[in-house]
Amino acid sequence: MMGRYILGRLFQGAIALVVLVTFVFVVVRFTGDPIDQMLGPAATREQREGLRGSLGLDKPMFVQYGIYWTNIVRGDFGRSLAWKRPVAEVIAQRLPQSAKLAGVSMAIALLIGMPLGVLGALRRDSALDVSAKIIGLLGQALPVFWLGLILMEIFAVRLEILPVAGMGSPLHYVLPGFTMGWFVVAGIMRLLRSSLVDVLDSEFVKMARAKGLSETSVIWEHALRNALLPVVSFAGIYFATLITAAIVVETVFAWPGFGLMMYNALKFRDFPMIQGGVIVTGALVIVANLTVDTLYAFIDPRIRYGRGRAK
Amino acid sequence: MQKRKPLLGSVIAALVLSVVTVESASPAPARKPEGELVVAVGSLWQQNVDPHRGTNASKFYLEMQFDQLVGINSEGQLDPKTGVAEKWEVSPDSKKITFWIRKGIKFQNGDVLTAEDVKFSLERALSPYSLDEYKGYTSVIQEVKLVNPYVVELILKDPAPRLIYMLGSLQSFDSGVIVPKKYVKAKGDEYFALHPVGSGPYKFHSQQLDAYIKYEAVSSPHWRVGIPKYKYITFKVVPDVSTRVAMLKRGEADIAEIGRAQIKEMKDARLDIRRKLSGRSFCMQFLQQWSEGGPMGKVKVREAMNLAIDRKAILDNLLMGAGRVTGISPSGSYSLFYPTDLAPYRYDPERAKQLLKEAGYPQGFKFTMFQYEYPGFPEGRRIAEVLASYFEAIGLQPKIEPVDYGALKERIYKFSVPNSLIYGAYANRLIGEDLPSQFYLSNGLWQMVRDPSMDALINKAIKAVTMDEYKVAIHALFKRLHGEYVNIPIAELDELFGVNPKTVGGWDMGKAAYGMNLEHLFSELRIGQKKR
Repeated sequence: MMGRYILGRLFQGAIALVVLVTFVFVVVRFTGDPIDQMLGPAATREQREGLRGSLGLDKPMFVQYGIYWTNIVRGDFGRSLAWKRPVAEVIAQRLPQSAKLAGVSMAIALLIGMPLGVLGALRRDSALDVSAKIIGLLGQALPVFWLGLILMEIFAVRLEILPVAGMGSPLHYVLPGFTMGWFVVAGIMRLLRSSLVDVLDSEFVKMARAKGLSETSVIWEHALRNALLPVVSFAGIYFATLITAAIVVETVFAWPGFGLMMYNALKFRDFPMIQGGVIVTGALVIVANLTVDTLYAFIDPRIRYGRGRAK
Repeated sequence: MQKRKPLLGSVIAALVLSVVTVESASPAPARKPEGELVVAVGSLWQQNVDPHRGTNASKFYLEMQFDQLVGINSEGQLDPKTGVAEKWEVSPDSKKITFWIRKGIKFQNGDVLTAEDVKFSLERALSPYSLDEYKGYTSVIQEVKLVNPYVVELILKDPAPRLIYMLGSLQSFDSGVIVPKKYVKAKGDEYFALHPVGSGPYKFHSQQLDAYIKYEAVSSPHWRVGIPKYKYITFKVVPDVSTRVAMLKRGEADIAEIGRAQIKEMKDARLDIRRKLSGRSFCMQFLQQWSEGGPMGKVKVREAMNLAIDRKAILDNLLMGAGRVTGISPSGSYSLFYPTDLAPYRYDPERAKQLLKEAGYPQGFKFTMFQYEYPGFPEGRRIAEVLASYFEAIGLQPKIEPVDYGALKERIYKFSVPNSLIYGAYANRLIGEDLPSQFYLSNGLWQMVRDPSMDALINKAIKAVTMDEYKVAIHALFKRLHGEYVNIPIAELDELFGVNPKTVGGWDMGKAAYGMNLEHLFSELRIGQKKR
């Protein structure tokens, strides 16, 4: 049953991906001419048309579309117009860099958000709860760009305890990781808090207390496990977003990741790179969603997937 | 016994003396390149390390690794001491150029540079593989002939007295760059594009896309530079200017591209600013001046719009004084035979209003001003707003339309944007008719003007057969651009770089379009360079 469910979801995801790539394929061709970026402004019309022809960009759009999918089926995502390398090679370089940063950010977010969420649920409306909410709110309210630059100024420039920008050592992950992670803290904290509040009011928790179990055991062994479900869902889906859309943090910290790659591809009208990036982004979101839903079923044995809905 | 002691002492003294003598006679150990110069830039563009596959904008890093056929100096002049050609001769009819290739130059893989490499490189630059935007100029080369291993002749289809300038790096980079024939043919273009080899003072070390390119000093003294000062030169991509400044403050970068908005911050942090004087020419352009019924086709309207602007105020307040007002654009003061008698237009809003009345627009007229991020010129958006207010003050009704520059160019090439203004900050360059030929020829890409007499002026400059003829033609062109207010010149802008004064001394950035002349910082022999 689960196997059929997963296959079904994968099939739906593939359809969604084809629709998405088709949409992007068409739209991006109306946004500008990559030949402009590849050749300097002094290039003649003949040079421009010659290059356009050699890249196949002079063919009708539907022909380009057919060629594109024929190549995709063969595993060829095309060559980047800007960097003149296989799109797959560029993505393979950039994606892990973003994934590592996203991993660190999510870990920081969970390390801060989960304890705050638990404390907020246990000490509702206390000074601790209010402080936790403020911390979470600040993470979402402060512009990521500004936060990154402020942290850079304090910890890298004034205190000189962390590097300013770029990749290199584990210390390079701290500032961008924290900047991105703080943004996610609020979501994790509030989800866990409200979920745990609900769970703590449920019958099985009352039963556990009535049986004489310690409060620590009730919360950490019984209630929290159930309260984690929405957090798992949120973290899983958001992780995919952190990988593919961290353009602001990657720009501030000169992190050569996937987000910056897509931004430059868009600026350059690098059609193959944009299309390849969209496929990867779409696939990541689909896989993240599917993974989270599957994990749900393992975490909560009550959840079973039947004909199109969770039971 | 007593007789042996003096003898022993003499022997010991002689031995000591001989050691000291030998030590003194040994040459001092050669200085080695050391340390790393880190240059933080906003972009490495397409990050091409094959010099025939990039645009001119890649010049600032490619010039670490590659030499040009024709040398230049930091004054912006041709200089036979600094190029692969130690001498050249142009025939009286300007249809043949003979180059004598300097002996003893080696590529970084040990191959000796000969005329064969020069022939190969010039032909590669002209081939479809090359993305050299100046093929329009260099395609006048009909044939490259090998006379002997160190002499090469260029046979031209037509006289081209300025071709020699295109084969150095003042204007272009791709056209005259020299690559190793044997290596490229053996390894192929794709391999060369990832593992380039040149004859410059630095060889390619490594790169990471969108992160950095690193060069390493060659192990033996370079014929022009001697022993380079730095062991490594690394260009790091740091998209955000605040981050670049932070890196300077922290010492993670020695040089950083900055904008005018960072001038005060640099001074507060006790960092220095170096300027490439007049590196860019900033102006506004009237699109589709030939549009039927369009007001911008009238000289009086264009004159009025020029007189409406206080250029000095813009330069002082928005551009922090980092430049100088100008009366000619888009060509700038680096141009050959740049005229010095065409003054910037005065600020006279009252006369501007009068001119509008005379032109038949007493109530003004509506038009569009596009607003966008222009590469390398972040102040453009704000200045567009300020200029709009100047136009409003004389009774015009500008509408500011924020757009993406790339998408706007599509509309411009399709001539669907009449009655509108754009702006640009164009790299100052040697060939004065280069930008006018792009913008104002009636069969060009932009076609801002469609006027056979303008075409004639531009083509006369392009096709001039002698430098004297070229001088007359270019002066006539500049005079026309100025006299008919073909655009709205604002100022020549200095390109600004923040530097750490502890690690970077005096730096003359030269006059090559898009170049940085980092050689001024690392050259030991200082051939073709000003004193520090």
